Amino acid sequence: METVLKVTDVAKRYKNSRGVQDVSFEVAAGEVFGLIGPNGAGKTTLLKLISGLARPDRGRIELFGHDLATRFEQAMAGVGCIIETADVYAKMTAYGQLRQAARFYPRLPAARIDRVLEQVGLAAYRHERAGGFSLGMKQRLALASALLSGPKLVLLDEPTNGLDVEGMAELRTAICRLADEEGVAFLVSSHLVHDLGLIASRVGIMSEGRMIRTEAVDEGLWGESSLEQYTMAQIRGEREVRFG
Amino acid sequence: MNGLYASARNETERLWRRRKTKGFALVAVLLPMLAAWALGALPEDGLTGVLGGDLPMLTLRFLTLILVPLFLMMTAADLFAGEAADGTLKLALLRPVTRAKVYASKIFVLSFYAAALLAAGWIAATAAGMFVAGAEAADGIAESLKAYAVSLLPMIALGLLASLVGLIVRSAAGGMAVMLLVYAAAGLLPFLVPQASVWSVVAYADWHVLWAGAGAPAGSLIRSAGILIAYCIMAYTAGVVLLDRKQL
Repeated sequence: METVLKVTDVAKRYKNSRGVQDVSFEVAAGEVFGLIGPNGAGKTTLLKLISGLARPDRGRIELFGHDLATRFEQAMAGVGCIIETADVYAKMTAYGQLRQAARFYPRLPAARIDRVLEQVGLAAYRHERAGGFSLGMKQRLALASALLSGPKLVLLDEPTNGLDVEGMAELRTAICRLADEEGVAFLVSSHLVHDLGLIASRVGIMSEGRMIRTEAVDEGLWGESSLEQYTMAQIRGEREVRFG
Repeated sequence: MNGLYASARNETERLWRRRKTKGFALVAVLLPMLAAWALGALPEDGLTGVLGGDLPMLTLRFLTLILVPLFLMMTAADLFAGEAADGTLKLALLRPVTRAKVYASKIFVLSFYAAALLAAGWIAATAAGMFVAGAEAADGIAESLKAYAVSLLPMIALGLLASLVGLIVRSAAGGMAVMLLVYAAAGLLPFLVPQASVWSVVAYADWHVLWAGAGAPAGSLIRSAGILIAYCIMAYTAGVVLLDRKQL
């Protein structure tokens, strides 16, 4: 499988000493890679570094073989993102926001906007201003914006925030379908470990800025215990090794 | 190239949707008309004709000293500090477009609307001047057009400096407050330290007077233009670097 994302020895340290250290991993086409770990583990920082919102202190990030630092436009051409929060232009309609996003992809057919709005269940609200949307609707709009260009890699940071049960199930189904049928790779960070366990083909466990382990979900490495219990055991083990 | 075009088009569209932008345009058009109406209400004498003929230049002073600077400061605060605070700056930066192009598109849209305000003001003032002073006002059209055209350069310099402040502060309201303070201080500087006025961008807001009539000596115009262009280059470069280093 083609590697769509390659992260090599990436480090980033903020003034509050948080950040990520020496993170390396790869994501292949069609793979759903789940990032799990406690609050402050560095998941969002890592996604910000991969999407170019923050710059690493050292290390290299390649998207589709393009170095993010030197060939940003080529690297990001096949990437869709929701990072940290589902931000929207409050005074623009759902359709207007997507039309703005579509301008960055000149080959995108105009009908694509309507299609993604239908996919995320916002077709009926296309001419409503996003400022009046609920958190869940904003999240759906952000998802539509991330999927609009038909990306080959989608970065999702806590994508189920604000979604109702039905929305969460639809999102899981959409991710699995796009990965299986269209070969789209997903890098998904979530604190809902159980949810990630249902869709991820591989998970990366992060703790205190480090990627302490990457595991294939279908290998059943955690035996009788759940992914949640396995993750907690890994994090506890890492802390014991590091701090005694 | 598509990224720059898409970004500029998006910025232009978003800015036009703001009520503030339309409000500023309305003031630029209505003010000379109201002035003409007031002059028309005065008894007919020589003064009415002189003021009517001079309406475009009177309007230009108001535009370059108050309206356009205020628009540039408010818009720069919204485009940089405001969008960073409400998370929408992120939306542009997550697309396949470099930060340098995003910055260029924001500066373009600031300059474009500043030019549009000046153009709207000139058209309204010229038409209103003709209404009051009749054919006499037509004599000064070329002169006033030149004055409005050259006024764009100090406005662009001011917009670039306002953008720098917008990139440094954390909120649109804070940015606006800082910009107003700096603008007021820069306006007072020539009175307190006259020799410093040559270095103040604000002192060049009415540099169109240097171009009026026979105009100032060529050397003086070149020196003034050089200072304004140098400010533009320095502020633009600093802005590109600041946006490039901004961590979101």
